[in-house]
Amino acid sequence: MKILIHDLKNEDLPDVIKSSQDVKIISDNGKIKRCTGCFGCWIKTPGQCILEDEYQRMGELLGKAEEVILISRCSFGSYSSFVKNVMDRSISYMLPGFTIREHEMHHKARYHNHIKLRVYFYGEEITQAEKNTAEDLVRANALNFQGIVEEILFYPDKYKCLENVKW
Amino acid sequence: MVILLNCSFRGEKSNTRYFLGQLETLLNEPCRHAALNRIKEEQERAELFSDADAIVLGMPLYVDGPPAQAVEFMERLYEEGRGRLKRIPVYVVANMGFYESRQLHILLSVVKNWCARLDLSYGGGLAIGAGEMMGGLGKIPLDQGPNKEMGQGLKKLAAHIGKRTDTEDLYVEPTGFPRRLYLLAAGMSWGRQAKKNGVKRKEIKRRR
Repeated sequence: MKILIHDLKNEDLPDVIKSSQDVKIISDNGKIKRCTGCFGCWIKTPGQCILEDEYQRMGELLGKAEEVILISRCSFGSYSSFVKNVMDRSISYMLPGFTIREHEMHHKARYHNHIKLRVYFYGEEITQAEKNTAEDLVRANALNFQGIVEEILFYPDKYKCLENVKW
Repeated sequence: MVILLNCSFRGEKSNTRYFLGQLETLLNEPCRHAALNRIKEEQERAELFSDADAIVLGMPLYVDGPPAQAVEFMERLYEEGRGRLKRIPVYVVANMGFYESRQLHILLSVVKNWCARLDLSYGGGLAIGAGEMMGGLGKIPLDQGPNKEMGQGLKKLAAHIGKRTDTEDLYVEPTGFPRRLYLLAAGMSWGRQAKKNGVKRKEIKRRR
């Protein structure tokens, strides 16, 4: 299964993706709750966020994914607040316990899959410093989530970005 | 006046609030604590800057960067305040559960990039590793035991805030407390916390 997490309007997406059975689309419904850092997804309802909304089962979804495509505005080198919120709500994909990976402390894996990550940032006049930060962020996410970075690309607007996404 | 803005969703109970409180004890000028949780309106965001001579953003690390609510705050201020915000220095006190404070460099870079976009002066950040442990050591003086390195970092940052000067980012970890011990202690604490919620140790690893 592929997962597409994006901050565009759903009508901007190509029809072939909207109708695909293989792609689970995570869009902004305007009602996403914020991760409160309660760790309930680790110690109260392991593997599932305790906040009840459409994004409650992100960890479980990631556990079934082979590939994740992220399309996000580049906000100062971060994902946009919506896409970052989805990432923040996804930590139940990992276990609370720790391990050492590439000489750093990280969380142990709950699932056995290794997600391929393709990230497409868009935004006007993204600076080189912002690109460097965004690349560091994606690579750090991949290390934390035991994923593999396939590509990280930057585009000046969402239309150019959508033209170049490898669906 | 220095505004100490707590960007943690846990609010008053957060480690972030604790570290900002420790910094406050080292600043010899009026400070005001503010909580991002409670700031909803454009005017409230603008007032943070109009009321302050310097601002310190306290942030926990969420998934390798600032929490979504902090990113949203920065996005909104960029839209609302571009070219209109009072040009005050912005400092950061960041913390996280992992031991190696260098893992906070992305969070600090995001704030730095945001300051560059808004033409604000980035004054520097203090990155605190093993924050879950350091946040509970309030009874140990800042110049002693595991607090020593963090205490020096807080003092250095406070001195720069006092003079409104810039510092390079400062990275601190527990003094004399090795990573392997922290890893062991932190690992055991999850089982205890789960048990309090009626969750057995083996259920923590549940796949859905």
